[in-house]
Amino acid sequence: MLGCLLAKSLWRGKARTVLVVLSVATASTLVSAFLNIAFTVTEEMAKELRSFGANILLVPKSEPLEIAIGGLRFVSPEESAYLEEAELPRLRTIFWRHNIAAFAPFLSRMVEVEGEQALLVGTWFDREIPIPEGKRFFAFANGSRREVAPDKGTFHTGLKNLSRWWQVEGQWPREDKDGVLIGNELARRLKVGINDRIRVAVEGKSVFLSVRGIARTGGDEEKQIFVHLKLAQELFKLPGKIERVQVSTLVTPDNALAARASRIGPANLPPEEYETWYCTPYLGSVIYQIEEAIPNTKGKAIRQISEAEGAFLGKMRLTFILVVAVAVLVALLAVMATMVTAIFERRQEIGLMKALGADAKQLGLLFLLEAGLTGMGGGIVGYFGGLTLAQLLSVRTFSLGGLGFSLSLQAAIFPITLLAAVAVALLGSFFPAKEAMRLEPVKTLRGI
Amino acid sequence: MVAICAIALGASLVVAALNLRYGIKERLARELRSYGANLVLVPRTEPFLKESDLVILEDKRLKDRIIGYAPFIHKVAKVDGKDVVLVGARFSQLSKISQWWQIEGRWPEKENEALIGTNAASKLGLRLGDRFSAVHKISQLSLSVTGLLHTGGAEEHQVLVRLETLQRLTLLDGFLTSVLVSSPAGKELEETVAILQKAWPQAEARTLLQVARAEEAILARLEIFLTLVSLLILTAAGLSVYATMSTAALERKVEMALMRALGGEERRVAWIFASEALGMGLIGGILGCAAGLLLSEIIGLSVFGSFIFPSLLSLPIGLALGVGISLFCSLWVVRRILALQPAVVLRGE
Repeated sequence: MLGCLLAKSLWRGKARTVLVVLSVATASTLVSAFLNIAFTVTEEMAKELRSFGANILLVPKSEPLEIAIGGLRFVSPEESAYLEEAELPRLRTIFWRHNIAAFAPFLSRMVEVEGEQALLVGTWFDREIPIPEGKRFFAFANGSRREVAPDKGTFHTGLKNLSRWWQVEGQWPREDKDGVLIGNELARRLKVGINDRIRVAVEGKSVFLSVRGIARTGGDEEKQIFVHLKLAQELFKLPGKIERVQVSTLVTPDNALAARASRIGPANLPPEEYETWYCTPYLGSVIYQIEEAIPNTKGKAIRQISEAEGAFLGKMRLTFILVVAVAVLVALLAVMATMVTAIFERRQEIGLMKALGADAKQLGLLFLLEAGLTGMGGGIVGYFGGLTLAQLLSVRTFSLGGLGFSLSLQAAIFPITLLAAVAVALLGSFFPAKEAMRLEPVKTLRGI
Repeated sequence: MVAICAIALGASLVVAALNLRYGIKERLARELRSYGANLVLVPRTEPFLKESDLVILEDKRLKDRIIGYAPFIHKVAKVDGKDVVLVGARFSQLSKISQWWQIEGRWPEKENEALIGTNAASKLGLRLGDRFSAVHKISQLSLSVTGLLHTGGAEEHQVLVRLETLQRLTLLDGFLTSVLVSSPAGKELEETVAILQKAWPQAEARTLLQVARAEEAILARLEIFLTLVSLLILTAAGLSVYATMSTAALERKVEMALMRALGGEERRVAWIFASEALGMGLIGGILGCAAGLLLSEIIGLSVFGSFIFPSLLSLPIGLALGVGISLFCSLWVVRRILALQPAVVLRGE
């Protein structure tokens, strides 16, 4: 009986039903789109920020005191300390290896270029490195061990991926050919252009190298010249050695736990907290894991980048949450208003039903069921609408080809959207329906 | 009454959204400035810049474009027989453009105090409160450590002292090696560079691309995003006002029919209701603008801890939306009702 009534009433007021469903759908589109975006936007922003430089610097434990001035850099020979190039691929074996976006090693010495002093830097420009194979485990403080699925294949990295803000005129040098990338200021001073050959003298020995590109960065790099690492190692007679590594990692902004870990040291955290800390990509925990993986290394946070990033992302998240809250509120109000109108239009219907002997409970059930059904319909339509909208928004905002949809995230968003839709529909029809039922049937029927 | 509330609410949300759309961008752009300086001034041909030329940066045209600047002099000196880079800086200005520096101890205040990079400190065997002397050629200087500096950058290898102190030690009174400048990002940055270039020809203004590019990219993304969100809010607010206004007009179906039955012309009846809607729209719009301003300031306060500058555009748009939508809705509904036969309406069918 009730079902029959319900179907009839929904069908007879087709236009009205469609309107209500549409308005609920609009609202839940907003809810679902904003939830999607709010959860992923800071991640996207973080990724975006990562293309602007390393946030971790790896140096040997006994880091020498360097005298760096005006783009030149001196280290006294007896103090020099090195890392092994061969150990670098281990960076991709740590727990948060997927968060390591790029890294590049550096080895530099003063040389004479065409009679002028300049810093020659050896680095990886663009490299495919194999990832070490084998099973890996991570042991936690409480003794549990977690196996980590091994990665296969190779990892693409180097200075070109690390420092995307460099403006290079000409080409990046190749890894297998002896070419140099020269800083803009140095090139201007030496009056050399692309494809010119320059003489580089190290410790009395000299080689001729051709210029493949001119780099503009605004920083000290403009006074330096860059060659591939192997060549630098040969020139300096330091096979397999590197001095420092810049690493770009995706990290979450520090919170209270991360602050405490850096204050008292991760080893002094209670076991559960240690595990949480270890399994969260804070800057501190990533550095800790790198230090574990590569012996004799000290990791330093490049604060200029990391702090600004953390602060910025924190603010962004808060802003988005507030904006989203406001937007959702508006959407819900819009739906409520529509529901009120819809019920109001049916005052006479309610009056008639009451006059025919329906009691308030039955009527309430009918209207709430109707509202629930339309809410559900609108919610489902809106959820998918929102998904599309979020995709559209993120493609427009971030040139990353859309969001990565994680099922677990969707599993949370779908019920929330549906719930919001149904709740709003119910709430929107509850008050006007109650109001309508309080009225005398005679009066409503007479249209007063 | 309900209608006025709905209009006010809609308008307030629109005003708040628009305010945030413009205000937040500015605030976040400022926030990004904590990335540090995005311009550096270096000598063009001569080995040094003149300190007296810094007045150029205080010039009226440049003052608004520069958030902060810090002059530096870099020199290698011997501490404990080891070569170290000594940096002379004005600490009050430096602390403003390098907020990310972590200092154990405190910033130097007096003449002979120094801030020392952690790596330099460990290599020179210095700790907080220690005294040491720096030697450059024949002159010598006695300094005490007031703070240890963690930055993760080159500063960790340096000793920072007051600008005048180092100038005196190296006999380079009134000379500078570089000036770091922090300036609003985006298009303005290029203009700033051009102006600087003209105003101070001895100096070469260089954009620190790492910082500048990051800022540009983020601000551009942010702008698109906030525009889209404002549009969505605008649509939603419009819908909610529309729905409420329709209800309000429907409630008065009988009244309208009665007017018609008593001989009121369709136009006049519509006009009466429209002017009513106009009034409601105005009142609601004004209330909404005030509430919206309040809302955006609350959000600004809670996110940034300071007020955001209200965008002048937001108020007229908010008002126009209130009036426009209420007028449009009521006319729409009124016309639909007036098209019905008064007799039918009055009979309540």
